[in-house]
Amino acid sequence: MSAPVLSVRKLTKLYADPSRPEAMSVGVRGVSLEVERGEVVGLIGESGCGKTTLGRCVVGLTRPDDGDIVVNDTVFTKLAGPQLRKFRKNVQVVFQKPETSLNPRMTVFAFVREAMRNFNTAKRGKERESMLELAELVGLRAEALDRYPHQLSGGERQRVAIMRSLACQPELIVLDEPTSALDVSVQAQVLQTLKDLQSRVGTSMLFISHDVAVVRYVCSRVLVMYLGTIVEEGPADIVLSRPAHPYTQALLAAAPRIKPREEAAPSLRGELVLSAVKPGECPVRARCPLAHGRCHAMPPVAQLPNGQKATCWLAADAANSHTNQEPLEKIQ
Amino acid sequence: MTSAIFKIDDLAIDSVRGGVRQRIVDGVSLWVAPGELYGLVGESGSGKSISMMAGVGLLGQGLEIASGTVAFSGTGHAAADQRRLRGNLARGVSLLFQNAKGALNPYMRIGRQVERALRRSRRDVDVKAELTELFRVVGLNYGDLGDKYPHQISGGQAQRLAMACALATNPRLLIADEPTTALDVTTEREMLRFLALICAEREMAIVLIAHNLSLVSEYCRRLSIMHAGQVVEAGSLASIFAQPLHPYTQGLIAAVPDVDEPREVVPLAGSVWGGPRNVARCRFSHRCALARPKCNAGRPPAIEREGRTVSCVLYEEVPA
Amino acid sequence: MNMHGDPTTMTLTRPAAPAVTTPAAATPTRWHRVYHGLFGGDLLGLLGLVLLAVLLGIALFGPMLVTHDPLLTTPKVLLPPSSEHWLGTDHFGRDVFSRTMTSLRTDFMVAGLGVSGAILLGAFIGLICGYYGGWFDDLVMRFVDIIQSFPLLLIAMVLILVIGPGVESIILVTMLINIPTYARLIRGEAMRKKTLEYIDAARCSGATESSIIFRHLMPNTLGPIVIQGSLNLAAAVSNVAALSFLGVGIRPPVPDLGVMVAEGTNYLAQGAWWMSVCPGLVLAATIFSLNLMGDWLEGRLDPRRQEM
Repeated sequence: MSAPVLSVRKLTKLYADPSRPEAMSVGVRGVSLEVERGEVVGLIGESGCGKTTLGRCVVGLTRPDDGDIVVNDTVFTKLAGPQLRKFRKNVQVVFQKPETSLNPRMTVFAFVREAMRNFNTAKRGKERESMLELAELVGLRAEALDRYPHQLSGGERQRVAIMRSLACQPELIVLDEPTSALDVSVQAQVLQTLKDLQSRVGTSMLFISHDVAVVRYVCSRVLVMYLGTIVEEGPADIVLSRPAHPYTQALLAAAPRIKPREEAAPSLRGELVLSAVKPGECPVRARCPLAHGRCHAMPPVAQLPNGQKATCWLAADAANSHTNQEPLEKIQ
Repeated sequence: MTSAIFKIDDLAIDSVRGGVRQRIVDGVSLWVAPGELYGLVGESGSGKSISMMAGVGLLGQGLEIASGTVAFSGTGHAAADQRRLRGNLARGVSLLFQNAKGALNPYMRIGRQVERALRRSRRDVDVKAELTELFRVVGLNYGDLGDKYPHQISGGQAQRLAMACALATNPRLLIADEPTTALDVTTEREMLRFLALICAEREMAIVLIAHNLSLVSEYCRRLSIMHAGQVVEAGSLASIFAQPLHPYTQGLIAAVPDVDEPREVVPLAGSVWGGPRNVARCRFSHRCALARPKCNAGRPPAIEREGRTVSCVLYEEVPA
Repeated sequence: MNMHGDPTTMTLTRPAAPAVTTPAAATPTRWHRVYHGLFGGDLLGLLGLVLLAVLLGIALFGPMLVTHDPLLTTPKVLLPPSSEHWLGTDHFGRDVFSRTMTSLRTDFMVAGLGVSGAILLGAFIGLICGYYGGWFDDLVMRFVDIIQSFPLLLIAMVLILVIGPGVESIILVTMLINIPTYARLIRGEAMRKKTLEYIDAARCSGATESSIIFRHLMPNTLGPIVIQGSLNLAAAVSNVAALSFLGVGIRPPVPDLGVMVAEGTNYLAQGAWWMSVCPGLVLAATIFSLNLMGDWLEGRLDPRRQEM
């Protein structure tokens, strides 16, 4: 089996609040993950969980405090200067907000051509041809190439962002909430484009989102993040239909649905309050409806069947007892 | 129909920017009863916010009312009389916006802000007691948070605070304009649950403006769906979801990925009409697979069918 | 008969793009469109533009429009306005009208060059400081603060002492005085915009640092310059006139509106009002039209109206 396209090893990047140095900080804490070639991996979490920081570190826009990012056997984090600049070709990004992801004073053509020129992904003079092919691939009309961003709709701008990424011929594309700022009907179009891309070109993607439904639709494997750590991971249809971690269960229950669920939904108490979380304990403990004594210590990573993993004492119990059922009763 | 506390009839609004007149809201009608949580759903540009703002007298610059009447608490006025309608804001109408932190004064302690809202409307109350109660109702602690400034509280708390300000005047009608868009999913759910609760408890009417159908599905019994300034389908939520009739509603439901059952997502074709908007026609027809010449002949008729009103020529011929 | 299929039982497949039907629309007259579209219906802005165009035209073609030699002294001193001398003559018998025409050009040139120089240098300083921040930003901004804290007259006099009087010195003074404005303005824009996603996207596209600063960031920070510049120009014209009035600026016999007003004040008591009032009115009109232009531009280029 070939090496994974992306391998993140114990990545840490913390933003401490200078006025309260003893409190927990937001960011990424020792996260490890892998993306295989051709895979679309989802990263789910709410605001403040560190998923955007993780995405930025992976793309090389933020320098991590500790840990490594390995892309195709090259340790990305150790590069600097012109080496770093040239290596950027391999990891590209699509941002959330269509309004600010394109340069308002450049036409689409000029904006994307820069990437092609810097990374030599198209022959001189043949740039327009290559770009027209890419436009067709992402479902963008040919006239859009000579337009300015303010003349395009939100959905079109996101497609341009995707096109720019593809123009670099990268190994991996990181998408940070690419459809969250779009209308429902436009979101569907962009999601369809991403699915098409996956099947036609086989692009590897790291899809970051807070929208569970969208992640389930696009991704084959999923990781759930809370306060900088991965609390659950596994195949998307397993994690998102039979979640083992209480946080994932709460997220799933809270997701808006056309047909509401009948069963009582587990939910988290209150909001994320950093000062309520002590270092060394399970980060969800303060809000978890199933919290008990053991939760004051960081839980181990429980290995459940079918590649599902959860960082929870209760899941560890389930794994140890060799059954497939997640315990739902409160333990006091 | 039960006595409505808020009723809008045939509201039409024109934009007069740049010397060109465009009809941006084309014939919106709805009514809300006390104790009802009413959903108003539409994507961006559907005119849902503008319609509601016009209904409370807060029509923006460069916009003009072309027709329509608004009735609140039995008294009706022409929609064009924005000044009169604005007066309702002091008499039982409250607003809740999307950007809660933006709606709060950054230089004033939050306890004081709610207090001012309270004092303005009710003169003879025990302020301290009322404040503590208001905070408690929205799930905050006045003792802990009363002295804080807006930047010191979280987004969810700020939204609850905005809620407290809105409730301070003891409103009969609350217009909530996408109050949960900026919140996390878990906080959003709590907020919606809370809105449904006080709606029933206080016999208050709430118009919940939302940009996707799933948000309103659990809490609203009746809703209106808008597209490009026109109401396409309105009425009982149960009937609409059981069998969506308007092609736009069908398309909207098919375009959202399902959390529980993976299925194909079918995007709506085309995009919102970007051309001139001064001709009466169905504004969905240009992207509708079932379009026919009659769609462009005039504003689509509103037809009563199976517990809801659908504005589509397709349902004209088939007998009820 | 329903020929297009019953919508309630139709299965939803991805529909083919339907034909777009374009409804007929009324077209407003061309003038109406230009007035509302280009000018935003702003009457004052239009007035300012027209006035400025007239004044600029005079400045451009000034020397060709004169009726007499502006520098020629004649014995016909202090004549009131007449058909021969439209604005009268001054204390040296020079035609006030011709002097006004030529001095308008001088003033525009001095103010224009001074402000342009300030924009170029100030924007560059602001861009680099805003983008890099840190100690460099702190240091350079302190120098800018120092310049800004000195009064105009003091700087002018010091510079004149050092370089000597003349048109060049005044241009330099104008430039120096206005650099802090643009440095701060562009620095603020740069700081606001350097964290935007398209800058990150450029970085990911492999752009070098200098490419990011000058090709991507700079064009997006220059917006406020147009408004600030036109308002600044008004102030600069006023400043040049003031300095000349005080004797520190453009020296006679080069005609300048400020100088003319100054010289004329000596003769106001004698009733020769045209010597001060006429150039004074032209000066006022210039500043007024530039201000109107600035306000109009601000209304048009408001980012809430358009894209960034």
